[in-house]
Amino acid sequence: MRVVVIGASAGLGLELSNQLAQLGHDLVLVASDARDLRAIAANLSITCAANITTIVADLNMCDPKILADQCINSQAVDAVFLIAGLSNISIDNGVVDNEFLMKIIKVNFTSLMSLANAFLPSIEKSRGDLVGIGSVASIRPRKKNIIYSASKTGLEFYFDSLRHLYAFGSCKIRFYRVGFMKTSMIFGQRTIFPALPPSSVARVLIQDLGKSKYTRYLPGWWLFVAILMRMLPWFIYKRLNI
Amino acid sequence: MKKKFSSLDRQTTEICDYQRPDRYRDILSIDKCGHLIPRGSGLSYVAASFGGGAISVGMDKFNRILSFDPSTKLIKVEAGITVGNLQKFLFCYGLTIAVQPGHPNITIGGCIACDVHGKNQTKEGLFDSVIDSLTLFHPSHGEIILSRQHNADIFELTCGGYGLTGIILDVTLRLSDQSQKSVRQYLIPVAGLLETRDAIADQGDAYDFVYSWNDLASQPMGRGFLVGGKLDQEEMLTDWSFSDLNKNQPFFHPSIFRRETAPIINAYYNWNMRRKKNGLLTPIFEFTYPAAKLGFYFSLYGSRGFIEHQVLIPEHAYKSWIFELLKILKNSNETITLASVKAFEGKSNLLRYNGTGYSVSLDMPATPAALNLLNEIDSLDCDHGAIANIYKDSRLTDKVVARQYRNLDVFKQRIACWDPMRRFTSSLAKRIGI
Repeated sequence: MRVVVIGASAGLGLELSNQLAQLGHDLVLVASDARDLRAIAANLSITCAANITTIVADLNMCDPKILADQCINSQAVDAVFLIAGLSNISIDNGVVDNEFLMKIIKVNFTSLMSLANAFLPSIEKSRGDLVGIGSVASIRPRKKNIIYSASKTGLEFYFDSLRHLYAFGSCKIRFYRVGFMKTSMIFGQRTIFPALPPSSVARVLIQDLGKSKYTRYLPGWWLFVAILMRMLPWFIYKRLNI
Repeated sequence: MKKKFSSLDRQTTEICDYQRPDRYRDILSIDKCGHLIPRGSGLSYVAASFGGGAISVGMDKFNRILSFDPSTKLIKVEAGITVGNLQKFLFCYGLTIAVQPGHPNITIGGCIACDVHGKNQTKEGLFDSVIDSLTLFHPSHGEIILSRQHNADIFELTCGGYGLTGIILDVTLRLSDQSQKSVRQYLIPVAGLLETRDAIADQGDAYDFVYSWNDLASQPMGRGFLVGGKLDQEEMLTDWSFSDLNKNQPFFHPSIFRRETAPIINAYYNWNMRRKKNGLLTPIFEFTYPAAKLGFYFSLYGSRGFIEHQVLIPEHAYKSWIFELLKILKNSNETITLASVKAFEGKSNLLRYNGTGYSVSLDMPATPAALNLLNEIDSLDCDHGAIANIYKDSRLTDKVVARQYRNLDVFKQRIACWDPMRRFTSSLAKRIGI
């Protein structure tokens, strides 16, 4: 299988790349940091004898269509994982600088949407998988991580539409609302619920390849948290400092 | 973030700032004015990777192999890779790192910072002997390549420099052939510490690895056995798992290893080892990393922890040192729970634990009586021209280190010259006055 991982240099993307390489898949890894990508590609080529292509691209700056064409490179693509994400919880909690706002929206939403759009013909052809990663931040709007939650919700909406579009189609559209993960995004922060290691999330994502599941909470118990949060009446919810 | 760190011997605990970068840009843009200290797996007996007001920079995410050429036997790795993971990879190619510490979860960066020794020091030297070159990052100097040819003075300062010269990013290691997959283990009984030295001198060359186990908790003091390992071609199923020494201990965890129980525990260990057949085939992993599955050993000392005093005694002073040690032990209220002897050959340089003679390791529970006993042993060491291992003993003072390491001032001057702002520091560095 030829798999594209967008956002492969750290966290979930890195774990996913490691596990996919161990399974012998050919990988196209995309990330913004050339040095990290070089190190990851070298390691996977040496330890897993994997065929790795790396593309350095910053989703805030690049043209997603050109990036997708570079990834496809006239070859079949069997799966695309849109993992890249950006958040800064210390800034993203009210009125923010417009440049920051646009960057968060671009990296988490519009660039990924454009990439998905550009990859779809290839994925359709190979009857492959398009996988999007959302966040439990989208469960219910709150006063923290505002732009991030909005952009992830936008991405989820787009994937919902794709799911409808391909309900009887050839390619599989999957979207996961992932809970807290032990990555640099939450490093040093106290989380109200336990954080998962990215390796266990990556394992589920790989196990689900080729399956027609949709919107899964990872881990599953987040579904109950989501139901409870949504059921909370506004006069209580507005008092929560979450 | 703030994190509570503890040294392996549990003698130093501090809440420190901690960063755990996972991208190169995070390291290169690290705090431009605060104090820093790199941290690997955090398995040092002493507080070498935290404290002293420094931010500990966890390097464990940088654990990749960057290049590997079996024909030239060179491998370039990131400093956060562990010796166990690297060895597991090299095993398939019939290659090895000639010098390896006792636990597989120690990082290559940690091996360099302490310039560790292995079980075959007389044959292979210290860890720096397997280093071809390395890349060091210092916020004031940027990235520089260090080797015996380029920036040789900083290379020398970094190997055994306790992380005080900067953050090691990557290392090129020279590998050795090792087609053998197992070790035949031989036990040679010895009657005391002097006999141990004689046995090492007489029979050491016959084995690929040699160390001893001696019982100082019961009479006659010092009896035990020499463990000799001979590499063997026989294939064995290797279990690469190991116990995590960093596992949090419960708040109150009583010490099982104490003066009253040590003779019984040692007698059992002695009996258990001696009943094994001589020439027993052991997976190379278990022999290379004897501490890999002995996590429980450290927990036997309870939440109060233990002290390991490792001292390198010049050959000519060994007999007299042993004689005096046994005299001190007879008058002491504390007991030494474990003793081990290894032969050493080399030249001491800067703060490296190296020289020609015999290295004796003494473990004991951290009690007030043990501290008094060790103060006496410190004087004994100084009188005999011995040097204590800085990266093993948490209570060595600046005065003792200054008496034993004649190059301490040279080390301080060279560090001050390289890093005038003293950006890199740790609890260990502060304690020994660097």
